Amino acid sequence: MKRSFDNLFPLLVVLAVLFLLGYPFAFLMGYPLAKTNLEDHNRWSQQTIKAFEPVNVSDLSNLKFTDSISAETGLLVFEGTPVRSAYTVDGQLLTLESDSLQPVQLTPLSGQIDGQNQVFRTERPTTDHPLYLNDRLLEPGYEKPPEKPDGVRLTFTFTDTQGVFALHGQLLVPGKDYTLDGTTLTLSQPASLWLSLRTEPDWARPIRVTGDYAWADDATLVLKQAPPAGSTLQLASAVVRWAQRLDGVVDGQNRTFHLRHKNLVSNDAQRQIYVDDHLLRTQGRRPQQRADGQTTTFTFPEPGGIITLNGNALTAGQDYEQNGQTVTFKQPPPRLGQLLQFDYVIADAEQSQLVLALPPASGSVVWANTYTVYDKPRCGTNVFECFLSLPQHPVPLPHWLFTTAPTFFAKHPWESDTNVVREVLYTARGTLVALLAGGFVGLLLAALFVIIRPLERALLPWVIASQTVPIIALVPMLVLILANFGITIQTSILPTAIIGGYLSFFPITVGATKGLRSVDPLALDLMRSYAASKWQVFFKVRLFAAVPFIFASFKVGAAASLVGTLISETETSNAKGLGFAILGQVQAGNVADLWLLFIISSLMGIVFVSAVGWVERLVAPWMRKV
Amino acid sequence: MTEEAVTNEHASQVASAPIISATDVDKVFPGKGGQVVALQGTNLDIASREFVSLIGPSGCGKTTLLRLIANLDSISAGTLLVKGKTPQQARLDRDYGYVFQAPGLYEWRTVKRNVELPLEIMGIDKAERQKRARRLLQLVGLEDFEEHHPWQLSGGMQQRVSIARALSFSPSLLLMDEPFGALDEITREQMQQEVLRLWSETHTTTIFVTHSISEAVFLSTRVVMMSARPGRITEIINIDLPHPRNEDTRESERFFELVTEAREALRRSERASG
Repeated sequence: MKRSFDNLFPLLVVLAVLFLLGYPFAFLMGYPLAKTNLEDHNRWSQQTIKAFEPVNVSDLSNLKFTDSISAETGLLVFEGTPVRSAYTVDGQLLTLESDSLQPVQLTPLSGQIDGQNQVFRTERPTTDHPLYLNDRLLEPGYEKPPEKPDGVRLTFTFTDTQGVFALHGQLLVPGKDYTLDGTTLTLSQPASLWLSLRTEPDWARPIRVTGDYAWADDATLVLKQAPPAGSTLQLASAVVRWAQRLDGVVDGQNRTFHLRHKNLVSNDAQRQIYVDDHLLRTQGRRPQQRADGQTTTFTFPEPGGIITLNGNALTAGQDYEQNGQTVTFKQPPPRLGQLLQFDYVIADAEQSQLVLALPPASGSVVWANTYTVYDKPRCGTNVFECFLSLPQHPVPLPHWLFTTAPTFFAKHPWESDTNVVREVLYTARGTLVALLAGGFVGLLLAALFVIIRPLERALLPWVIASQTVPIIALVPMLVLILANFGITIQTSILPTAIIGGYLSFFPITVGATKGLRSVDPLALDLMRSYAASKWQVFFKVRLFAAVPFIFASFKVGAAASLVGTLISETETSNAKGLGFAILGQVQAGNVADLWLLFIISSLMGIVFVSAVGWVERLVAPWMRKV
Repeated sequence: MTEEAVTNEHASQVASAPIISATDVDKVFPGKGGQVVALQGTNLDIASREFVSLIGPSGCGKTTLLRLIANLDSISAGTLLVKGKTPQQARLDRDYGYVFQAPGLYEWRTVKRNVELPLEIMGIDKAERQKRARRLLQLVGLEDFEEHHPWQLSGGMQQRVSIARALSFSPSLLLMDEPFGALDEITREQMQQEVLRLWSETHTTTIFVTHSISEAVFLSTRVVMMSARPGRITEIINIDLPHPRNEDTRESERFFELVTEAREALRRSERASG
């Protein structure tokens, strides 16, 4: 009982250390990445802020919205124009005080509403007018695949398989028109390019309806779900929306405004900022001339605007003089510098601060129809959650290793060349040969050093110098030279033996030399009193006295041989052995498998060093007392 | 060298000249802080079959003298003859067995193979080696421990193996350098008894270095007093205790007288050098 505990104890210590230190260590190593995921806005989820339609537009004098609204932060917009006439706002309700607006017509869509039909025809309005199912406002939305149709292509990839697929104004029937393999959709016949030439090219590729509905071509609406029989499906004739006001004084001078949601996404093509009914363009405009490092005068398509150089806003009067469309710089912009003219620029994305090129005239409204902000970290609310949600921890969590191991071994079955056991055996063979080679050379050198003393002074500097040559530099050279002799690592164990032996012979030489010299003077006196010859002293005393040193140096040498063998395996197109497997996982960036391979190679090292110990007990039983 | 030859040679030595003959022997060790004179003007003759103890304070050169005789060090001046030959020749002829303070057993050899080692070096064949080793182990009472390794034996047993090893090739001279220094009093007295028994059985001339006055008196036929700085012989006392000596000898009147005499002689030599 006591004995088995003694044997078990080291294992328990190892496990305890692995677990107690493993978690804090893994956390420490993963902390920077987790912190970046938490704090870097580019890794956050995005939220699109939109002006929103009322639930019902049949009676404009009594509009109801799904959320509470406030006249301070928002405004009513009719067909892209702020409503000037007076209205009152109370909670979710809005009441227009006069009938100044054109009434909104609700046009029923043509098509059967029988609980089956999902396709309806109507002329598509130039702006997206809202669609109502009974009193419910429907949400549009679709996804288009990245592949371009070319009249031949059959496969298109999507991010998800939810929803229905449509093409050329037709609902696609699963099994008949297409098959799905994962998220890859394969059409039964290629999408016609001829049809797409006639219309917008987008309709030539299949779309996935992700919202309640989507336009499948210029005259066809496809609903994700068929409206139940008896319900009404109506398209409004005009767009009425509640839009967001921008914060900022409108006094004819102020040009700085804030959006109400922070952390603006800078490269947002959907952003729509208006001054009254005038849409400020998000896209910049190029001058006619290119910046070549010499030109100072540039002609822009329009007068005014904010001029930016490589994304940085310049100051009029200080950096340049503007005269109509012509801009003259004090210093020529650098070659290939990107000059752009903007209606407005983002001064501070985090604070969602915009600077307009022209100050809005007093009495006008600055409002946003739609814009996108970074919402919140995708990974969680704190560093710890973000750490746990990392897809790959730089240092894996201890328990995670145990759960990964079975899949790792299942991934490489015995039949496969990449099977771990086979790789380990291959590497073990190389290590053994390398150790024997290094041991032979090491012992030979040590014996020579002890027997012929001057030889040590002559050769030891070279032996030491050999170890300062980086093995990484040596291996390709050696492989190259041996290849000239027709010896490759695929056909011969020699390269591995040389590289592993090269690393292991040094500790063995040093250890064995020290051992052969470390004879008790008393033992030497005794041999002298027996008038023993030099050889008798060597073989009957020195060799035996050196045994503990030799085995200790062989233990170091065994570890060095393993390292050398692993390195030699990374250097070749051999595709065998643990070293090659490690290299493969490094290149694949597969942290979990990499750590498993590390652990396996450390275990190999332990086994090899212990094996030297077993041999020692076998060869030198007298050492048992130690 | 066969056993008979050794015995014959031994017998021929009895009548002839002294086994050790030292005349004006000096030993100087060169050192960083100047030379150290370990022995000065040493004159000593030891006859065959004698048991001579060298006794004196630390640094008096008693071990040095022993090592000079064994040719483990060489003399600086004077003449030293061992069995009428130079010490080196005597060593090469394997004329002596040496027992150190530490047993100095080779831990990778069993007890028997340790005893066999000198014979192995002399090139004696295996059967003969084993026969002699067994006989010597019987002589020191360790025949049951032949196949043990040194670390399995007690300190006293190890020292007995070491003595057996020194005697394995039947040298005519046995040099012992404080062999019982590390042993406890009881074991020590047993070992002394044993050494006396071996001495009387093998007729081996013995030179014995010790710190203990009573040990020297109990064992020896002559006790050589030495003093330090520089190491030299100051006085030699003849011990006329009758043989065989045993536990009763230790309690005899004469034993105490001789111990007292030796102690006073030592004090005298201390004062002289002091």
